[in-house]
Amino acid sequence: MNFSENLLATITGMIRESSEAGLIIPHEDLFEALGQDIILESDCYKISFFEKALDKILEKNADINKLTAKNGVSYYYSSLSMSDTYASILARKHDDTLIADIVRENSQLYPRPVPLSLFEHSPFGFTREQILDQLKRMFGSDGFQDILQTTTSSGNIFLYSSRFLDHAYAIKMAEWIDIGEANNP
Amino acid sequence: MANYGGWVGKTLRVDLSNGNISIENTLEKYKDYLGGTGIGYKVLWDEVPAGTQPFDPVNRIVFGVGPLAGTGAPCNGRTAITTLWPTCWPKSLVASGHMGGNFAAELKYAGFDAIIIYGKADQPVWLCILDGKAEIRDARNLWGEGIRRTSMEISRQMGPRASVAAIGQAGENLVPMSVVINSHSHSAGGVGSVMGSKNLKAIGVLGTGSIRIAGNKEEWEKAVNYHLSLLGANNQHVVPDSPQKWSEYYGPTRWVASPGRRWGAASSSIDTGSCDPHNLNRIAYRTNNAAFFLGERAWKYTVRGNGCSSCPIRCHTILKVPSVSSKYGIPEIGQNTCVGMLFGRNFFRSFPDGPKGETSIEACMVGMSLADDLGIWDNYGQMQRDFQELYYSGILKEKVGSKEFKSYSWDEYEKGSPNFLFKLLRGIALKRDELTTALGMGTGYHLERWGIPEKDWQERPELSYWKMGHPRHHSSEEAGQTGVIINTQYNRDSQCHSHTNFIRNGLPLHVQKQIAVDIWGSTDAIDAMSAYSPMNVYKAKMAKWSILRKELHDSLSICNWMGPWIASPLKEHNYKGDDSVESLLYSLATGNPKSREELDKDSERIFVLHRALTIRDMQTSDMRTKHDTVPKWIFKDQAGKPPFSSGSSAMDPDDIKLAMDMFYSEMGWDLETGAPRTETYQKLGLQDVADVFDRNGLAVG
Repeated sequence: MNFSENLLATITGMIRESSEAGLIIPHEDLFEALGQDIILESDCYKISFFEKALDKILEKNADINKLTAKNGVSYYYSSLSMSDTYASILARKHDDTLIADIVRENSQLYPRPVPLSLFEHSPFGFTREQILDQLKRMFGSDGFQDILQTTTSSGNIFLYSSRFLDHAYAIKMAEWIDIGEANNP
Repeated sequence: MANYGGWVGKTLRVDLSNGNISIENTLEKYKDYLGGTGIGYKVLWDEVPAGTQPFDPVNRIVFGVGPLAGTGAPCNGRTAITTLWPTCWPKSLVASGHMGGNFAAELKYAGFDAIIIYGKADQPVWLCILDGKAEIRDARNLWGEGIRRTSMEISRQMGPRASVAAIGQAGENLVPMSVVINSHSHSAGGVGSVMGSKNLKAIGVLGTGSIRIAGNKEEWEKAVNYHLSLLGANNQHVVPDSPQKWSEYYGPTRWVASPGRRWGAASSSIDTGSCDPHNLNRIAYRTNNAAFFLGERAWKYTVRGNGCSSCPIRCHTILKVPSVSSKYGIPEIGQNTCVGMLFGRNFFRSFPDGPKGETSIEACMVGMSLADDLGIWDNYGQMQRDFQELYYSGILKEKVGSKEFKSYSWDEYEKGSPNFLFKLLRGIALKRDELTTALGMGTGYHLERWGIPEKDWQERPELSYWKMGHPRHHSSEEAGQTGVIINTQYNRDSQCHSHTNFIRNGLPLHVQKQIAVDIWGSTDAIDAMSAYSPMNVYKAKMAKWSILRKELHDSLSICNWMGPWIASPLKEHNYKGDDSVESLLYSLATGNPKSREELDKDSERIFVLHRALTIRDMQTSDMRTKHDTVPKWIFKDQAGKPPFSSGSSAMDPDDIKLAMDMFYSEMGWDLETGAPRTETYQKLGLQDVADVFDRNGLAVG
């Protein structure tokens, strides 16, 4: 199947521009945008044609990546200006498991607990009420038994996954991050 | 002698007793000691006899900078001030304080690498250094004034570009807990009273000279940009504290810039934004230490970051808090970092609106305003910890007598009112009563004065007290045995950041371990914080490396608070930095090519000379049991967890003995005494030290 270089360049450009602006771009948005501007010159109104064009772009451009969210929506981003970590947070922003996922990732990778306040800031942007609602649902549900919390001596809540951190370590690190770091400058 | 770049080649010598001012060749005497602390230790070894007290006229106070000060090398604003330390208990020993700001660069532009001051003026004086010439001037009109007014008056005389390092009333009154400050907020603790003892109110420097870079100019520029590319935020934290589009990792660091976080008190509110590490023009936006220490609320009061010459990090955050002007009668603008910023807040146990509320910020503003004008030092927060403990334990009430006790408004104190600070801090500077006199002496001496055994403080982890009148400074709580070793080695708090800035840089442990392999030979050099493994030789190597890099930075005049640069924010480099960036910059600046290993040997010479000074002045070579001691609290975990268990910061006594053995072994020192052997001195070119110790019975091995 032949793709016009113009089409491929336009799609690639849109993905890169979107990443530069701090956004991942859903498949649907790409399709809609190109349907208005470029598609007329080729046969790619057909979804399958468009999919293949995207596959071609992924094959030819090492920086272009695709992420598929739990709801099946595919997103594209360019690693020239966006990290996999950030893109994966954006792709999961509406998943009800996002907080648990982030907690597990931090517990496994760094390893450390995370403060509740992390989720109030960009790119999460949840309100405290939204976070507490999600926690309430999580703490009572199957599949989240590993997500635990500890409260520091300042009264701040930290979350961790017992799959990767034991309780004593989580308590110690939460206290350190919340109070120890600033008291030991 | 070769025509080196970097150094300007002259050292100023000032005898305040007779007013003699002379100039000597820096390189003839001090080239092997680089500059900074290296010059300071060498001068004290050569010129200050054992048994000298800090306020004796024969004591030297050495303002030393190094070959990179005043160049374009990043983070080169540090001046090392070396002298006999007045808060070192029970006996004064050599130590250094370090101030940033513009003084170091200006001293070089004025034509000097160092100032060696001794004697005692018969009336208050200040030292005016202007383009290669120095003059002792009358300071009687400045005596009794605070640092701000002193600096303004001297700047009025010398010109607005002058850098003025001044003491306040605390230093004049020989309060050991006193500082010298330049550039508004850049202080060196502990040395104010030594200047005061010499009747030296201030040093003003102004120069129109420049520093010659010996190497190829294009290579120099490339090296400077290369170093800049390795920089993180304050403390060389290399990942941001929140997920950002360019960043693979994030964590609880001082890289607090983020889209939506704004310098709210700037003339036009500025969004710190996404600071991609490849954009070197945005390094200054990464750090906001007010926000890091005081919380989100501080953003709205932030004007901008401020800092030292040639340093893009800007770790001193300028705050504008209009309410403090009407409420407390102090300037609405204040600036500082770390313990300087927290000076006022840390006296209080709580505030009516919480630890990060408005009152807490007001207490910081009041504390900065008073302490940085009166010139009071807090010994890395130990003064405030002591104060809280003495008050809440009832000791203070018992020791000061009821009349004096009642003269303070303790209700106001317990409620967290910043008003309480005015009487207390002014009292410390003026030695107004028993409480303030005792606090101003420093921990070791006030414990002795009030009959409190030092061991009582050494058993309490929350007091952070280490030994000899000083606290821990990044010890076992964050760096296990490596931190313990480093904290045993100095005569004040260790001030070493080579280890902690790496451990706290925000990278995942597995990435840090890969870097550790390159630098110290094994992933085993580091552990997860509070999940420590038993001692191993790689931790000893890390401790040695950390100390030597501290001394190297302090001698070259690049900032150990910002280094080391062995990690970077660069994913394409696997987050590795470069442990030879110092030798690259040194070699190009001076035209005296030295490898990383050769410079490390220079720094080892400097550190071992510090050790020799300690041995000489303590009159014992038994450093192991008489000096390199550890407080009992390191063997306890606050949650009662045993050593080497997850979540425990407790050390094991036998393991710490092994740690010291391994460290001494790495240093080539005697295992029994912890003293450098004769052959170690000889290997480092310190034959004169070996000879002295041979004669006076302090030689080992």
